[in-house]
Amino acid sequence: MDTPTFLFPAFVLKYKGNEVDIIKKYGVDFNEKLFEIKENTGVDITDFDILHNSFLDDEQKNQMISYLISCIFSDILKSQSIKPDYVSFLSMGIYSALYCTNSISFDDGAKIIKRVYELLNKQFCDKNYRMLAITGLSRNDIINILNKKSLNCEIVIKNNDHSFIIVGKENDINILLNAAKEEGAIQLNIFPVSIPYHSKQIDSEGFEDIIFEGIEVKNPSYKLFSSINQKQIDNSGKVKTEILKNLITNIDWHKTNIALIKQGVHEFVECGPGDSLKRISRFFDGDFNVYGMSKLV
Amino acid sequence: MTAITEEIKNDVRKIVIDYFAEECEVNTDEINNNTHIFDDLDGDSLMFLELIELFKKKYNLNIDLKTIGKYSLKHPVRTIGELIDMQILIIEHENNIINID
Repeated sequence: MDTPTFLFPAFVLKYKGNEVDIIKKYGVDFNEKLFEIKENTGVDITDFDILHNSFLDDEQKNQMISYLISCIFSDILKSQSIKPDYVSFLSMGIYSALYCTNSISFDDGAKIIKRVYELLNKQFCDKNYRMLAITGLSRNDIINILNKKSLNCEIVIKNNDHSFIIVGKENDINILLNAAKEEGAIQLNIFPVSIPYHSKQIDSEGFEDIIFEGIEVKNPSYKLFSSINQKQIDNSGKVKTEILKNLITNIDWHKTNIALIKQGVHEFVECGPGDSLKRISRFFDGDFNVYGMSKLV
Repeated sequence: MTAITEEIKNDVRKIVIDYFAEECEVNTDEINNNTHIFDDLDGDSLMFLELIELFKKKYNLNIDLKTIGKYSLKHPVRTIGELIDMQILIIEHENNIINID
């Protein structure tokens, strides 16, 4: 295997089911980590139970458990001498990617997640935003529906040529869902998310001071690859900018992966719970493999 | 319109089963017509699309993904057997599949 690129997922839609077993196999005290998150942030995820699919419907706890599992996986890989060439991330996977590159500490990453969530939740808690994943239609198909129905929705993530994430108010998203079904979408999923991440709806003015208060951000010690502009993030200033921009900028995950493949990357490791990134990668052109943790450790 | 032969039917069946065996990390002998794609194999819609793309190239088919989406609305595919039947219909009728009851 070539030196792989570590990819960090946004949040977990479905657990593989073996995540905790992998963690325990390597002697990590998972329960202690759950309590550490609670003590550090006040977000109580100590009742996590993978057999009961905990937190799939809880926006904040989902981000926190994804962050925790992703960080532990990254540590396990490094402990087995599997170190990343590049590191990249989709959406809220940025925080575990930054932990992996030693740019932020574990505790600070959890604090940032909490602060960002609280800032955004305050802005959108009563606004009824929803996130819809559409599979089987092209970007043009979706734009045509939005225009035809005069819907105030925004395509915020391109996963691949056949899969997009759209945010909008609940009513508009419901209309889009029905129209997309009639248009021939193969699959439609509304995510349990109430914040329009990556959209122009977010007003991030004043966020910087709050998010980074008392947080030490260091230069990344591995090659950190932006999913916003497909360039390397090589210093702490750029890391801070990326964290802020990541909230308000549309993401082209397809373009990010293709750019990495063009840089010579052939092996990716999905460093987090579930296998959503492996699934998305099916429609990327190029000679590459995406491995889950269970294939490597 | 392509005439469906036994050879094509067997080919489709082998491709579908081999594909899911590899993607879902199960043995081919664990997959049969009644295997549920989502519940038993943890399959997803992108696998479905990838298979269609594979058959499009192999049989040089004129079929839009949207047409398949519309067809699937009336004829949902849940099992391997249903998927094989649908792939054969796609090869036979291409975009005209939408006009089949």
